[in-house]
Amino acid sequence: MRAPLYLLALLSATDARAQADLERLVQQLAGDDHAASSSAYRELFDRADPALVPWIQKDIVGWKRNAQHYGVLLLAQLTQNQPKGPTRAMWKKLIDAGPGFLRLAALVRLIDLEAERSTVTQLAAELRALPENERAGVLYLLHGMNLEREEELFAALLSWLHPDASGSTVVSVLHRLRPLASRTAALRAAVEPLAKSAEPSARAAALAYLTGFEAKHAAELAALLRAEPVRLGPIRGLLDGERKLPAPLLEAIVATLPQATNEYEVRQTAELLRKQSPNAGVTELRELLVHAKPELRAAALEALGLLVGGLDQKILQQLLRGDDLSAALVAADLLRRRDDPSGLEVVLIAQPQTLEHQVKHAEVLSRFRDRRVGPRLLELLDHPDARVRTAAWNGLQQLMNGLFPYRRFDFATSGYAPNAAARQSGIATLRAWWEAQAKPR
Amino acid sequence: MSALSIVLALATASLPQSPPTAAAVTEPGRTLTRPLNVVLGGSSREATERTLIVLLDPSPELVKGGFVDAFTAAIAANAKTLTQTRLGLAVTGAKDPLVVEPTLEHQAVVRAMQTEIAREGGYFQNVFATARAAAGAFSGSSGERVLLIAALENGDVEDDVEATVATLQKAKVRVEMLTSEATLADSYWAENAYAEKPRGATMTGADGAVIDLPWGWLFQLHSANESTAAGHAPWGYSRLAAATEGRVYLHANSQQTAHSCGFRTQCLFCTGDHAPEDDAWSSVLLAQLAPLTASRAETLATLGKDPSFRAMVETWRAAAKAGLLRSEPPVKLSPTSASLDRARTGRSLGLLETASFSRHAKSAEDAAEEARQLGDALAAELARIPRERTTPRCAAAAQYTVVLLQLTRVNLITYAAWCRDLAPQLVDGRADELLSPEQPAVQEEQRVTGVSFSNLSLCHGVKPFYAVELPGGETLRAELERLDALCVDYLSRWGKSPFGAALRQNGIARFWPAMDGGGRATTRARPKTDQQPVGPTTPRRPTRAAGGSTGTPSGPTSGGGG
Repeated sequence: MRAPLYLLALLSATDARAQADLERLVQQLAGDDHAASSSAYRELFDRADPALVPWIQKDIVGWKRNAQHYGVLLLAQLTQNQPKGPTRAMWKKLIDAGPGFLRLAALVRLIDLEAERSTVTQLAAELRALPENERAGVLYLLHGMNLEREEELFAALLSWLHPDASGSTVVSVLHRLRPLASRTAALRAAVEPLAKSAEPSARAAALAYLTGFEAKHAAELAALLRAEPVRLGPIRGLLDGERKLPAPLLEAIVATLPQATNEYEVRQTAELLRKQSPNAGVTELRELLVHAKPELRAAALEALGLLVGGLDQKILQQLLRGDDLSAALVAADLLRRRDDPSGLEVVLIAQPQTLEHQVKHAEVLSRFRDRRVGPRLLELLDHPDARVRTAAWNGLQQLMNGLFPYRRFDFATSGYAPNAAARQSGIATLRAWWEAQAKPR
Repeated sequence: MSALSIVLALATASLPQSPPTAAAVTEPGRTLTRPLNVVLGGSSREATERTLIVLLDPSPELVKGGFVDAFTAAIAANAKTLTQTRLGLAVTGAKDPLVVEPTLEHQAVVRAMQTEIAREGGYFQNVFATARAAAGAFSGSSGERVLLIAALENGDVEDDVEATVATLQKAKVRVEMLTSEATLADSYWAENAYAEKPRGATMTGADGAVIDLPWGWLFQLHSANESTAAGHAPWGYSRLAAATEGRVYLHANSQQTAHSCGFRTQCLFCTGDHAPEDDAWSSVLLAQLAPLTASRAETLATLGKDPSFRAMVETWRAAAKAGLLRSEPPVKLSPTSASLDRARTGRSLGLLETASFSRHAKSAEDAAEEARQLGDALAAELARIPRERTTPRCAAAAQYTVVLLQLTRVNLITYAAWCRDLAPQLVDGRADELLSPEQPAVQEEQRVTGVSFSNLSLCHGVKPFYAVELPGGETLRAELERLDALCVDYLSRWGKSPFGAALRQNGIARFWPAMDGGGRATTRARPKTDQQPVGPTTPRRPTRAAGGSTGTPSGPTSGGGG
């Protein structure tokens, strides 16, 4: 019976309150709510409590994939300075627990620990055998691997680029392998057959990669995007490289803007275009300013503000003084980015009613470097929504570092954490500092 | 012809001839496609007899930019006009630079190019020597003769530019230059004069024939001259194109255009989302500020007659002697001209070397007063110079000097206040009890050996600093306001140009006590290896921060994505 031992370990390391908090966080980590799980992970990571190791090790096999991911990251963090023997045994135990994500993740960690050849071979075999629908989701595990050196792993990933590969697999593999300068010829040879793939998303990804080599691929991709604008989303990152895109392809990308269904698409496409040309997409973005969805209007507004000739000061000032709070916040932010702080007054007195507006308000407010911002951010540290609290907390740290460059801060000593259940003491500490700093030194 | 036309014609003829500048030869755009299409396509729509040799200086940037693919595409796109064009290939670094003799079998050139471009070059390559050698390969060829030099690096390895010009002119060869942007009055090699270089070569790299902007200012970690994009090629390359009636095409990839609030400076006012309006350069202003493409001797003769240049040089020398810069001007002035001078370093005030804070404070206050006097005197002299008697570039450089003198004064004043008010408390542990989350700046067990500093970026201007807690109180505030007025005035005139970007590359200094074992010189980014430099290398220009360099959003409007 091992559970009491873990509890003893916990009790020796933390006080009863902290233990309860830890227990709550581990439950939250393993739960179904992704946002809560992620938040718990961040907090557990900050605590770096070694008592967690046996606890995670015991339960991780039964956790959902998302929680397993966080569990592996925490195990890696907590054992990084531990003796190799027990750490190796821990990873091997997880490898033996069964095929799938956990085995792959543990294999990667084991290679990271001791670079054993046979482990690399085992990982390559596991990768080759992985079902098609799981491939794209595990590639990030290889983030730290040197695939220019690890021939077996590179070959395993290349084997995923077959004519029946899914679009998501092709996109993920290309993102991972594209930066490998010494592997360009092999990758290009593997991708070229996919330019004729019957699967449109795989074909789009292949063409996006090959666009860098031959103009005919750019023309084919332009035609595909004009016919199916939705194909741009997954491959946008592949087009965002160092090379300038040919004009017909740029025009096809511009033509996808009016088809955007969410603000993310507008932002990302506009950003891609902005890197290629100072005013590409101005007309299309202006058309989005009257879109029925307010979030698309706001995204178009932000994007226009960054383009040459997109939005002049006069329009921004009109938006700032208008009735649409969302537009006013974007305008204030854009003006700030252009070294015009005139929007701060509007942001300081704004009383956003909806949660989305409150989040946006906190984000915009937190980017101003002005002493009047401090008290508002201190208030928002206790907002009911974690996104608002996090924005305010990040903003307050930047504000204090920015306005007081001769002072050194260790913000952890304030005791405040935006995801902690008890926040009042931390806020009181920060408020006390803020009120005292106004006095001359 | 009307009387008015005659008067206008006479008036125009009586104006002094404007010397040629890099603006006249630098083409807009930053892509590979357009220059290759223009050069390979030729000036005629019909196929005419031509010889075109590509001088390739292999580099990772050319590979990443897809040069061979773009070249292949340009051959295909211009197939009709190329039927009578013999293509050849010369490569830097090879024993025999001519790799492919001019031939009508164009694919032979492409195949050789694919092999040669991937070849790992040496640290330095002498493009000028290769150009002289390549000129010989045109002998006996009839029709138009074009040397397309594709060299994104090595613009700073200068080797007898005028002999190269003479050789190419004699061979009736036109140079079409595909290269990358220089930095404004680049001072890197002047500051690193001790570095090894290829035999017979001189390390330069600035956009002009001489460094015409003061560098190495006191309390600036980094010279703006080394990271501010010039909008033009290194002078030697522009000179080759200009002297042979060719053109310069600048290349940059799309990732070199992102805005950054400074190189080796800290920005207090944003987290990387700054979008200053001045980032979009004015093509008119860029052309006005272009450097001369005449020979170095002719350039010096022209500059020596410019009253703004003369005033700037005199002030630069005086400021160096006062310890306000670590460089002296690279030229000496005679009554009507200028000539190159040997490199000298400015006086060191030793303000960083010991923990004698009260002595340092006194020295800094004295130096601040000198900065004020020099700045005021230069500003007064510039005000007396009629606009038509000076060039915009010389005027901008001289006004930059005025602003930098005030910035240096600000830094000296805040330094003096720090020495008097803050440093002794930090060292003696006499600081007031601190409220959390503030921590002591100095650990008790550390021994203070001197002073270190960093730079707080001026990219957002001076006004935001009014809200920042800096040593110096009301005195500093008054000087910041004066600096702000000078900056606003300067940027209203030169903001949308490399000279505006250069000013934003500077910063307000922030000081702290240097501890035992602290402080180490940083090295410049190197292009051809990820290793530590083991020998001389051609430096890659640092990322074009503050103002951008290369087309699109943050670059000059003469560039763009064309």
